[in-house]
Amino acid sequence: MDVFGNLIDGIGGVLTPENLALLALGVLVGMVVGVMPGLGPSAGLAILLPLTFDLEPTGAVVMLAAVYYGAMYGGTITSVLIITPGESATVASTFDGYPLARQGRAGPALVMAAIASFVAGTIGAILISVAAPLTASIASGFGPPELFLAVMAGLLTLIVIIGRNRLLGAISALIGFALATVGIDIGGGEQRYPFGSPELINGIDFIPVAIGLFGVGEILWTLYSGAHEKDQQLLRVRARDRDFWPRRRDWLESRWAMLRGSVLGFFVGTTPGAGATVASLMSYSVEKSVAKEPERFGKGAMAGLVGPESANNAATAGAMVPLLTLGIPGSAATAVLLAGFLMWGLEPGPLLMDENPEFAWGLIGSMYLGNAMLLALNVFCIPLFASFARVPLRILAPAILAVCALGTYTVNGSLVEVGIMFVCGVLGFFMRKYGFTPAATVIALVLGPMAEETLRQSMIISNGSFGIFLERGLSLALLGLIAALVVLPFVAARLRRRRRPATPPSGPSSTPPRERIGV
Amino acid sequence: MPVDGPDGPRIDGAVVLLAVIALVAAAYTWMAFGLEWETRAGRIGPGFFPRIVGSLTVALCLLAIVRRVRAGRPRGGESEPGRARLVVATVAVLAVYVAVLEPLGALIASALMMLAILSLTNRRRPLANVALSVGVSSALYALLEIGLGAGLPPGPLPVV
Repeated sequence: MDVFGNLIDGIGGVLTPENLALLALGVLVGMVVGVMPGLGPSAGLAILLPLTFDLEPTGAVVMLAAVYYGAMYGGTITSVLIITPGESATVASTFDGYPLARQGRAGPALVMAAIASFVAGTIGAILISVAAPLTASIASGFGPPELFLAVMAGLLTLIVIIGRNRLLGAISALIGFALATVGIDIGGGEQRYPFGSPELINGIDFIPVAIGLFGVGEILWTLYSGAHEKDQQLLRVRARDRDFWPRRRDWLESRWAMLRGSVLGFFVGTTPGAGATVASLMSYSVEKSVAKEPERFGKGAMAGLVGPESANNAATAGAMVPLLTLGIPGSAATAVLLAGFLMWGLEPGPLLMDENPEFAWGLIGSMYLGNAMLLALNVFCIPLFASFARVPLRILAPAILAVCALGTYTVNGSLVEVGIMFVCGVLGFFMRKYGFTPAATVIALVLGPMAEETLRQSMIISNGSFGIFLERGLSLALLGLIAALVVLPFVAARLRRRRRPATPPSGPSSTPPRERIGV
Repeated sequence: MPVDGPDGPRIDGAVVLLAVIALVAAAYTWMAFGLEWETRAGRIGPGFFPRIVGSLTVALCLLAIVRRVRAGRPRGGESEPGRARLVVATVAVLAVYVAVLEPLGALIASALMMLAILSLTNRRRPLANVALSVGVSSALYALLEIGLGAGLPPGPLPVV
């Protein structure tokens, strides 16, 4: 098949000494980032992005993608050993991973998680090889109206799925759109909100906002919550231990969970906002429901760890489909990757696979190679990476803040951007405290110019009439999706209320419970 | 149906934050009205998007404020208070850090920043804090400036 020929070419393109070195470096750095509480893939990618500017685009994105899934696996190590998920996608790994570690089976748990990640990554690379060109061919029929609606649908999906509170999620996205309007208006060249600053005339760069919201904001939140005051009691794991390797029973229990998790994770991952977190939790539910002994879940069932691990890794591959073919990031981490693509002069979208096939297939090929490298490194370096989790956060926190500041400064040598970064850090702290959605802000900041430009182009095509959105079949389909996304939460809430059994009156003065208001 | 809690309406940090965002959004929208809605050629002007974004932000913030205030205080009291003073002190240190980053240079400013924050988070080990601050900031400076040629501010130190 031509698709697999392209994949093999892509893998071949990555097999240069420089790219392999960048791949290995990315995987190592990603795992260190993932192991450290207080940082996740989004923060790690945002902080490392400025350091890749001198690299070739293919090499840079290979390294960043490696950091992405390396960080996912690093989060698993802390989930299993100290019941502290490195990031939200590894929460499900704590349910059975930590009980396994408490039973003295940390080694087999981590090895099986590494193998599950490898299998899922392989399946993900194969699926993306098929799905990406197919999606690109559909998306090539998208004009400005469809692209505008796709951006709106992607953001709405994120807000509906990811946020604790949809109203606050919508406000978070609007903050991102507002930040994106600062600078020169592309249509007419007029300056918007410069406030006399030469830096602001060029607009607010994505990197200080992302590093601030995710890196600094997370550190401030960690200090506020007091997590830095606790020394982690780490369960030790050593490769020389007799029980480090999985048993035959572990393989038999897990093989179908790996396959199910991989396929489920990939398709869930293609949905903006759903991503690895939702995929891993769904996989856990599926595995528990199909298990012969569901009562073992939560007490150290290997399938309860392997399924979510496969799902979260496959979801990272799935998230690449809308990113590469539509230019729409489905998560904060892929938003950082998109910002990187734009900085390197690449335009993700339907034409990327035709105009820059070596880049697109190189990225897909690197995902397969990165997973192979992860497996090799993980199995032999798990104890080493586990030791990073012992570094107390009260010592790590100022170092991370210094990395954030200096990394931001290296982008444009601008102190104003370092200031913006710290202001966004404070904003990110309050967003976390009060239930906003920083990911929506970052994604809206990246997509804002695209949304405005496609809306402008749509109005030009239609001579100022909004009817253009109703005249085209694809636009109508996207409008229907948007309407469903807006209506769905209310319908779901109503159905949930109807399904709740009626509580019998408890006495003469019974009063109905106060309804939770979702703010 | 939202009702006031037994202790009255709920005005807390979230309401204050929403009010601040609403005020900033109102100022943003007001400035957007100074930009053209439509160009002379009849196309979308520079004020089109900002006016919509700003107006929606103000409206949603006000809606969120009303909902939260009317929801009343939660039963069982507020959640556990956090280390607010530590966060305020950290933010103050970071503000000073930005101000001195160029005059003092990346190496010295970062070392001082790290020492200040370690003094807040790791008080019992002052000597270790000094060693960590100097060591980590030196390593970072070496990696970024010498290794990658990042162009960090040298300050009073001789340029390496």
